[in-house]
Amino acid sequence: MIEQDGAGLRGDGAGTTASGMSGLHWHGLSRRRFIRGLALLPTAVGGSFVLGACSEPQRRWRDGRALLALSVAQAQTLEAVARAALPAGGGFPDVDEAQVVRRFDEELSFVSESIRGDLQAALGVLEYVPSLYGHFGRFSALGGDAQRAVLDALCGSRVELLRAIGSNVRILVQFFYFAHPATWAATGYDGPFGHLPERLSEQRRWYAERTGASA
Amino acid sequence: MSTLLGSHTEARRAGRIVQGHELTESQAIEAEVCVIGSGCGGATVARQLAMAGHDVVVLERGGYYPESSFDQREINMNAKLSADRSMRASADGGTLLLSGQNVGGASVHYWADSYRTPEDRLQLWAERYGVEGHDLARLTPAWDELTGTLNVHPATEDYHNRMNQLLRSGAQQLGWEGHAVPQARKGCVKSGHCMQGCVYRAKQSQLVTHIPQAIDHGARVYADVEAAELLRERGQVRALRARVIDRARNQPSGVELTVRARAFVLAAGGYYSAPFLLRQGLQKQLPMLGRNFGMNPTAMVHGLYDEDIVLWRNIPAAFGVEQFRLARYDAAGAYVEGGYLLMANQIQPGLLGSMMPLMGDALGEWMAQMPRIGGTIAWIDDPADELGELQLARDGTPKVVYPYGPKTQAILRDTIRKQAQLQFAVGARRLLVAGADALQLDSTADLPKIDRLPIRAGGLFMAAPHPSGGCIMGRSARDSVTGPSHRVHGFDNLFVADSSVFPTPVSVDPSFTIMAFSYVAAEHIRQML
Ligand SMILES: Cc1cc2nc3c(=O)[nH]c(=O)nc-3n(C[C@H](O)[C@H](O)[C@H](O)COP(=O)(O)OP(=O)(O)OC[C@H]3O[C@@H](n4cnc5c(N)ncnc54)[C@H](O)[C@@H]3O)c2cc1C
Repeated sequence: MIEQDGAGLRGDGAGTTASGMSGLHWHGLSRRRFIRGLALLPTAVGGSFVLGACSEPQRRWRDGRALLALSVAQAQTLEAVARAALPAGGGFPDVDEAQVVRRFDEELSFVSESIRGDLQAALGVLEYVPSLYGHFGRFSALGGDAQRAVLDALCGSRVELLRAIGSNVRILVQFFYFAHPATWAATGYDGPFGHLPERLSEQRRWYAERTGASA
Repeated sequence: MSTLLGSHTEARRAGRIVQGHELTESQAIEAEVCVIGSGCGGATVARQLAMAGHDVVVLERGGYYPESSFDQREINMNAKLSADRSMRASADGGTLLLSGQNVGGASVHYWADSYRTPEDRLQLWAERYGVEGHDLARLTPAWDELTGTLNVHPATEDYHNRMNQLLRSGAQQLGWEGHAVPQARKGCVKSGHCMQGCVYRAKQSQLVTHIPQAIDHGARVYADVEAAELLRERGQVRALRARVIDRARNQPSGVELTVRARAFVLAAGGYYSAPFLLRQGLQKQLPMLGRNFGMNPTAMVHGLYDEDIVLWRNIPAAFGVEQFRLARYDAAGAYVEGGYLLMANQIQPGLLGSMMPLMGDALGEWMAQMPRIGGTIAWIDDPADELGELQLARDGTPKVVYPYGPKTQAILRDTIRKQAQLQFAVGARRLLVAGADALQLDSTADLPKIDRLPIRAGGLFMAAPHPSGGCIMGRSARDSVTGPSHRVHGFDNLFVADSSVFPTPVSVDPSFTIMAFSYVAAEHIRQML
């Protein structure tokens, strides 16, 4: 198993991302078992992108609006991470209500190419990584407990790259969720101090227009 | 119509902010001095030179967001004020790199802690690195003036929120030295939205101080304009090519500016200045370019209390524990303790939620008690022999390679231990180390667990708000990028004025050091004009 073999994989390409993902650099080739365990990963990631590109030309999300940065496949993986990582019940709103996937797509639309590429790749790896931890099936198809176990394993991995993938996707999902006003009542947050109206930036307006948000 | 000459003459009479949407045609601009970046470094240089009567143009990659555009919402304001929406991380993916990208730079979302550089650090820089002409005698007049301009004063009692009171009381119980933190504020209403930009103009960021002062003295500030290429002839920069950014798309609009000036000042900030020079192909000429990079990684410990803490109101850092600012080593050189500043944390719900290493219901249980969540944070003084390097990513943006060496790890472990010790001393019921291992501590009996916590990139949830180095100051091109006059080695008229000239981190929050260094830089620039 990869954990026994220690850190052997690191992101060495862009290195500028919330995941340090692109340009996978296989470090320490002598670690044969490690390599064997992960050998299918790049193919799987590539495959998911090809699949995404062919089968989802419109890239529309479930809310009926276009996705600008994520493919539908990536959005589904992200949604699965969000459902696994975020609280359900206890007065906390659903992932849809807190618009986690939508906001992730929006934020990713405006960052540097290297960051966007790395996070897209991270979602691709996440979707296919469960087999490394003994789970059969893609991440988005697993049950909640299995998903959480995979996320925990990733975040605690001794492999730098896997840690980065797990932690960064989770951190962003949790940021977008708890920053959304729909979650505030459940946390006891009394809202922004001045109770000011939301003031949308040019970029927010542009994104809304391009993705077909209703006014 | 705005012909080049017309807008130039007009702007000379009255300074102003020109925004990207006003720049519809490519054009040339002339000035005596062109400053790249409008943060603490750039805005201060611009103000000093403009007030001395020089014709200054400032180029700023980010947008101009006046207070009327602020709405105190975390993600909205992060998108307006922060570079790459705070989603850039170190090459190992483990540390989020925080900096500003707007008129005023990081000061618009900073905490306003305004420390003078400790004398021991200035001495180290002078003796080991050859940073001459930046001693206490030289910098003190600048700080004295800045203290007035930015209304810097120690946080008074009513600005200590509950977490700061607890921090102070814990420090007293444990015998740790600490003080009220000097703050750059005027009429603060305690909103707690420093990191979302201050709607009330109370936080004395560059946006409400040096930028308007520079403009009052004729400076022209071009927002949404990214410096791209230095057009040079031997050791002279003749002009600068810049591209206008379409703010709505955050992409180049196709319009270009060519700025001709007698002096060029690079003040793009600790994450961007060295990469800018790397993109000019200067690495061979300046082998130290990108080196000695520090970033004050932060480690946090969250605490659950029996009383309401309300971490998100009042000012962030009213009290600071300074006992551990410098790392201590024993006679044999082994690390003993310290190497960080310890503060109360202040984060709004999005950031707090993101730094919680829990999932599902466990996460919900903590977040449902948010008013009772307190916490501490420490920024470590990166050890000088374990600094990182700034390189270029494939798209030309900064790539931070940071080693997290053994001393750095020891410092991080020590600060987590001390943060836990202090929080238990002041009544925390349970602690949670912000890190992927989700270490929870229920009492002091659990403290030894910290000794077994793996410390590694991506293990702790860390952010790095204080970049330094990459264009360090020193004696010659062999050991540095700039000389003590802030001039880039090998150039007559290219200067650097931001935290990238610091040979090591400052050991306290850096903004006041950056500004005082900019005073010195401005004097040297004036001498060559
Ligand atoms: C959350 C947070 C809290 C902080 N709190 C404190 C605090 O309490 N006290 C303290 O002392 N420090 C604090 N800091 C750090 C402090 O804010 C910064 O160190 C300081 O403001 C940096 O100033 P600077 O001029 O070096 O760079 P910046 O403020 O980063 O300014 C550089 C500017 O250059 C622009 N730029 C970059 N590239 C280009 C280009 N090619 N063309 C044109 N423009 C360009 C950027 O958009 C940016 O606006 C904090 C930082 C953060 C992130």
